[in-house]
Amino acid sequence: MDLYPFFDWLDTSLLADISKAYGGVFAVVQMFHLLGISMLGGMVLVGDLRLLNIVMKDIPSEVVIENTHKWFNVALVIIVISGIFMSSAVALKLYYNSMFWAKMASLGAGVLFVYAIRRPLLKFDHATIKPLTLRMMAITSILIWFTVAASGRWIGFS
Amino acid sequence: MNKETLEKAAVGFAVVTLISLAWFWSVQVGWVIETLEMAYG
Repeated sequence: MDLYPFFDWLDTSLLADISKAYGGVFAVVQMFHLLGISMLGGMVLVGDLRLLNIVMKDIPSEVVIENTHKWFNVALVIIVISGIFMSSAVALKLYYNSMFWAKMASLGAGVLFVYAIRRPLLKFDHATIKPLTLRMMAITSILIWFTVAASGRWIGFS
Repeated sequence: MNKETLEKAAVGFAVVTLISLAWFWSVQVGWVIETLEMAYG
């Protein structure tokens, strides 16, 4: 499926007009994007390091996962909305950028992993889940979201 | 889905993802090293 028509449309949309014309607006939205990334990264780290039994060992992992997941959702919404706005400023440039597609692929994998596997599995009593499975999930989660952030940053240098 | 299926899915997804990410980052680091070699010999 060729997504070029979508990026072409985005490049000339009202969002693009605003993001290209008003640097201040772009900067504020970018600030929210970075804030969302740091919030999401924080929630991922706290939850996954708890699953790995590294932090907050005195708090049940079910409680930590439940609390971090709420704020993970908020951060993801902030990131996606601000990201669409920011990408409208350079939509066609992004279309031809391989790192952008690496970021989108890892973001898609991360969202699929969290909502289709990690979240449903962690609703069960963690004591009944194999420790190796928990550890593998935590490491995978950290590495996926690291890749989303790092490949996103790499867009600026490729 | 039941817990056993989800556990299998989690392990399968983790294995595929870890291999893919190891390949992806080794390619990226390879490009950086290649670029540095071209620039500085």
